[in-house]
Amino acid sequence: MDTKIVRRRFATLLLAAALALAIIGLVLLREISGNSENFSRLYQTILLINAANAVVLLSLIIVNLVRLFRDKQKDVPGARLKARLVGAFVLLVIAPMAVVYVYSIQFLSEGIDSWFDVKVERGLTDALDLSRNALDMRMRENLDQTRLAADSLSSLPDMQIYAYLPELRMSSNARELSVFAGGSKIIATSSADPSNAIPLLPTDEILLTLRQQNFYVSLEPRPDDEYFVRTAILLPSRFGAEPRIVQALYPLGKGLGPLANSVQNTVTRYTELAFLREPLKSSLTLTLSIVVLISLLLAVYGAFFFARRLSAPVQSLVAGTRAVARGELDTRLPSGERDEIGFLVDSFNDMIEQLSAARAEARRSEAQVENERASVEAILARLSSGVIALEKNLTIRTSNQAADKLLNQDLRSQEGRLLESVAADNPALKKVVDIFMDKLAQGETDWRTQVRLTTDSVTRVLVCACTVLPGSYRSRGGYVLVFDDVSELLQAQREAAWGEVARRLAHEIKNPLTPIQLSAERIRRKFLGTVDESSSELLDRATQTIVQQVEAMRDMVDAFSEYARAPAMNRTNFDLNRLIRQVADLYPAHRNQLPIRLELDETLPEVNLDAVRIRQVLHNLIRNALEAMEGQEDSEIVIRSYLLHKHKTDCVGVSVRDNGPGLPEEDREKIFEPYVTTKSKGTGLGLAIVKKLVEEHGGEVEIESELDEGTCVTLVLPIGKTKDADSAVQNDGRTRRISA
Amino acid sequence: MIEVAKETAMTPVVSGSIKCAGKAVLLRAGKYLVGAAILLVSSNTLFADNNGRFEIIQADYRVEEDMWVADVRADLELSDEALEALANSVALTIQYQFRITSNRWYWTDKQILARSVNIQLSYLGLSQRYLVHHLDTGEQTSYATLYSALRQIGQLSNFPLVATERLDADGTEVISLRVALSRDDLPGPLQMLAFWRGDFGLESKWNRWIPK
Repeated sequence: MDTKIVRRRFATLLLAAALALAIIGLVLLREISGNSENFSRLYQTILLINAANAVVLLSLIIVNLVRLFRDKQKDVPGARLKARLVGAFVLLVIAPMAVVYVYSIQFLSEGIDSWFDVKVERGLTDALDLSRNALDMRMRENLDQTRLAADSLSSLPDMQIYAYLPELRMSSNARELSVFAGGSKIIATSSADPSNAIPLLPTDEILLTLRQQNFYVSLEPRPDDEYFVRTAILLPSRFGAEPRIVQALYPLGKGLGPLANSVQNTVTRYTELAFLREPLKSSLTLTLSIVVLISLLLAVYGAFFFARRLSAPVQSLVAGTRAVARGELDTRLPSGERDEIGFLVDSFNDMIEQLSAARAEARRSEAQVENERASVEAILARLSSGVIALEKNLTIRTSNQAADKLLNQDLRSQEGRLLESVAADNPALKKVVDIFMDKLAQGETDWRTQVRLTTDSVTRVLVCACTVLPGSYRSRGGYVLVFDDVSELLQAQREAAWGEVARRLAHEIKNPLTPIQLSAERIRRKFLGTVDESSSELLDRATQTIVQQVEAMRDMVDAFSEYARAPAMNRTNFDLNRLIRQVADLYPAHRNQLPIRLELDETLPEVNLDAVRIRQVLHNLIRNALEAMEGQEDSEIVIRSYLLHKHKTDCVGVSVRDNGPGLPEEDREKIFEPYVTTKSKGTGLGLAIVKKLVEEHGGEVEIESELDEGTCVTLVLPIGKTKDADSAVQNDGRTRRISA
Repeated sequence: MIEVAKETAMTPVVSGSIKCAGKAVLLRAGKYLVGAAILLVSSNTLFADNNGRFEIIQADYRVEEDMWVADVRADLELSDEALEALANSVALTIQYQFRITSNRWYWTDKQILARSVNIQLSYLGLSQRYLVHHLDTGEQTSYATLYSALRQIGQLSNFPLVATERLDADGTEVISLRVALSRDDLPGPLQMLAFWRGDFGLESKWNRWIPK
């Protein structure tokens, strides 16, 4: 069982015992106060009960006091309130109780004193003196009567005394008249009561008195609450005999007797009461003090009890509030009484219940938002489109990898910064930001435009779109910029268009070429010998021209056909350096041209590419370089191979550099498009085909050129699956783009 | 043969009214507690000159007509407070307390008999005499002096104590006697004071005699 419960039950038991003891003690105290016969029987018990009660209550109070002090030192919630309540209760109890106590003592003292009156006391004393005087007179009379009787008897012998004594008794109105010899020898006696045969013997006191003064008189009480006067006379000794004592008993009579008795009783009662006045006050004060002490102790403990009862819910509320402040929303307070504090506790519990539910809901919402945010981030991370979310103040809220790549800027580390300041060092980004700012200045927040950007010598065409993010009713949510790289799409569209053109050309132009050539040759054969020499020369030159131009046109159509043709990819593992050497060997040095210089990385691994296509690519590049440098002194072509790691993929790089005239900047962007050429001759499809074939391998083509310095075309090709790779993957015909 | 043995202290054999030590301690503590209050209430008579004295001078036991009969002579001297109470018409009861117990080695003593002789002493203001009233027999006598009255009370003659057949007289029985001022018979207010103060606590030591 919980120690606190055990302690509380023990305290309750002690309190119940104290209450029971108090009630029993007070009832018994009342009993002995009203009945002195029970005093000695009950007083020790009462003392024990009250002492035990006082000890129990004092113990409880001390324990509570120590506990309260300790709680206050430890700053336990509610301790100060409890201390104040206890103080107030104790003060409220002690003050009136002290007043009542003091006034009760005063009232008791004055009340008891009021029983006694000086006049009454004096009256009683006077009555007593009067009675004594009256009785003294009576006693003297009786003594005189006895003396007369003694005188009458003094000369008589014993026998005559006996005979004369009754008459003498009656004449003296004595109740009993006796004559004794010495102390106790009865000579004669006469009594008014016939049943009383033995007379009352003289006491030692009488004998002693008689020896001193010859007579004795006293007023003596009788058992029946009556008084009688006893007189005695010592007769002188005669003839050497023992002295005679005449003793007479006289009743006070019906008149004086009851009065004397009444006076005696009243005086006795009053004297006793007067004597007991102070002890009575003391005992009543003591009784009252005990009652007050026990009541006071009970009241003080009651103050602790009620203070605890009152402060317990408040204490509980404070503890609950602290717990809630610490975030412990599972805190619930025990329901108390059905009063205002109980209502407060219930309301607190309801409030915490709602708070807990709200927090759980908030956490759920937060988790949901977090999940959604993570989802959005995951989606953004995997989007090929670049996304930049801006706050309303144009600071970067978030961005994705694609945006970093497209704009060549680590935007994710710049979150929280102004977009304009981030774009200051990045021309590509600045171009976009300028457009954005212009549109914003014009009030356009929802727009879409196409932007051509060059980053790292790569020109991209981006479709840039902007829209406003939804916000709360108080503020707009900012902006989102979306970039889509449509370069490849546009290239594909252009390639598709050129492919279509090529097919049409092949179909529409190639067909009439053969009849044209055949017709020209027939004309030449038929009319060359029939016409004159000058005409013959003209005919020969004309038909020759027609045949040559038809051939040239056929070559052009074949080239177009080759461009449009897309045979299946045939990847094989081969040594790229070897292929480069084979191709380079086909272009020996002649006239003013230096031999092709090879700077090959001999550590290059085998590559898994379509050797035929790569061979064509190399041919096209070398031919393109040669044509660009045609007529140039000391022209030189350098082919270099090397390993590189790009886009997390192992790649080989092959660069073909010439020292030709170079390309103007405006042509560099379009040089890979079909039918674009800077040379006087050529179809303009060479580099377009190179780009197409390289991209079919998932590679990239880059061109760098400086006017009068030369041009360098660099191929970046993924090594692809080689010996250890799965052949199924090698031959599935699909191409993995390194830019993926 | 008559043997009189005086005890120097209250013996457990005959006194045993308070046997519980805890009760005694509590009682004593309670006495001290409330005694302090009494001191404040009345301290004028705390230090009295004459504390009084009750003493058994002689106690004789003899067999007479199949009865054990006691003759006792006691010296009684009242304290000042008792004298004051007597002078103020408070009747005092003087009690001869006889206890006959049988000694038991294995347990507390067995009480065979408990008897008392109650004599009331009072002062009559009207006749200015002291009245001695034997409450058990109703016999009463009056004396002009307190000395005479106390002397008369101090003499108990031919008091039939117990039938001989009730005693084995084998040396295991003890007759105990003391004379005391009965506080139980005091008026209520005096009883309470007498409980806390020793003014009325007049009692002789226990006088023991082993009948054989």
